[in-house]
Amino acid sequence: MPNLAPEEYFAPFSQIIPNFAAFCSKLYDPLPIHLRMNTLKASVRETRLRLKRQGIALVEEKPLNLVYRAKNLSHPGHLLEFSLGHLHSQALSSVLAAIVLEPQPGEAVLDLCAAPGSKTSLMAQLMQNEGIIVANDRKPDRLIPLRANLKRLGVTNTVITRYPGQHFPKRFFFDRVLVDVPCSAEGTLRAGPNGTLRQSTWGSQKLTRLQRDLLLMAFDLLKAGGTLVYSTCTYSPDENERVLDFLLESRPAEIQPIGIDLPHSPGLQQWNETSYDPSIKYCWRIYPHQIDTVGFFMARVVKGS
Amino acid sequence: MLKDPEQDHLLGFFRQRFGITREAFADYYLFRRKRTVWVFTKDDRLKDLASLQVKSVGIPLLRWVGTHLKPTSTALQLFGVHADKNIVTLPTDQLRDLVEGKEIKSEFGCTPGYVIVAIRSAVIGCALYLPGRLISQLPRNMFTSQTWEYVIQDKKMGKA
Ligand SMILES: C[S@@+](CC[C@H](N)C(=O)[O-])C[C@H]1O[C@@H](n2cnc3c(N)ncnc32)[C@H](O)[C@@H]1O
Repeated sequence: MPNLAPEEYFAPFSQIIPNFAAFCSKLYDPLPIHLRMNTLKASVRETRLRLKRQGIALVEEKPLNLVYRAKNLSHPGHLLEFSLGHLHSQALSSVLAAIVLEPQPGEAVLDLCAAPGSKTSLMAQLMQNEGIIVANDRKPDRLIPLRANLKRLGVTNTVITRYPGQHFPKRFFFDRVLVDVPCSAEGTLRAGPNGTLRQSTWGSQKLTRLQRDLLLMAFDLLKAGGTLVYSTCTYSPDENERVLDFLLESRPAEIQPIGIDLPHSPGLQQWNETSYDPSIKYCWRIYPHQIDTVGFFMARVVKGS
Repeated sequence: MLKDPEQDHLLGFFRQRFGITREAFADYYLFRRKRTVWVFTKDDRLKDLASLQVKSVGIPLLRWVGTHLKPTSTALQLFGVHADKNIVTLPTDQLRDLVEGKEIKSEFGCTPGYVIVAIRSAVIGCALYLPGRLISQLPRNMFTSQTWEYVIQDKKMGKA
């Protein structure tokens, strides 16, 4: 398949993406570099100061006081502060998913699809390394970067497991679960030097079935009253709203509004003749022309007690 | 989880070698698997997770090398702030030499054995001090060659 310009690539979603022209035009800009300060190893102030002395210009991403956009840095992995785990290179939308889950110190938290651990390590940071996180990923080769990141970032409250998430044993129940599923991932795409996007495959039926099964299992592993966040980096309603709608039909789940003041679009109420539950409007769609980061979808769900 | 005598031995090593007291480890469990000891946040519920097939727990604290105990650089970055001896603070150009495999020839006022390598503002990790010689024990892939370009910039500003 030939590579396509953003306008052609995303044409199937032109009706659902607000201000489609601005969206496409944003995709010609490179993805910005965001740095998340890791307070498990150094204070935000200290790390900011060190970066400033190295001539790196930082812009704070408000209202999140631990994420900064680095304006003149192309390879954060070369920084000494990266090697020492004082910071992590992480898309703003990825940071948001962990923040929206609100894991608290002392809680038991499951990250069902955890590798390479960007969100796991942020959750450990929010929990101040207290309580327990189970970081699960089914792919053995993905456990290597997961382990390396947790080590570098000084995460001491996490155990690693390797189950297919949809078959995670129901022996231990969690206060919070993050289910950051495998997806078509076109939210990460930006046009290359020739102005086109590298073709990836849209979500197959097999993928959407896996996403449903992962979400159902995540829900079943919650304690009564527990909270989960479902997230993807795709714009496809079949991998987002439709999966949530299926959960609402199958389980006593409630989608909650997300209380952060950042630009976004609400979850869709309808796609391809199918209507969704009204509460799906509380989900967030993040488009790069609204927040300059990886395109994203997330839902905060509570289990009725 | 480690039994008391072995735990006492390990914590005694940190106290004797680096002046890091038991209190620094009060909120952690220690586990041993083969020759590596791991550190994990203390939490009663950990035993309930024993029913899961757990692949790893926490992060590596130290390893047995022959009959010696060798702390990991990761552990020293976390617990090294509590140390008060056998710490070698290097200027960044010497750290670079060390990382690149060169021995640093100097008396550092340490006793022979593993030491904590630091720069002015941060603990970097582990090195071996033999009389008059400092040898890196830092993981080989910890830094990239470009790391030093940023560090040099920092130094030019006169602060590193
Ligand atoms: C979007 S990525 C997760 C990114 C991660 N949460 C982070 O922030 O670093 C999806 C992950 O799901 C894993 N995965 C795929 N199928 C899975 C399954 N059936 N059960 C658990 N994990 C699975 C993949 O290996 C991949 O690492």
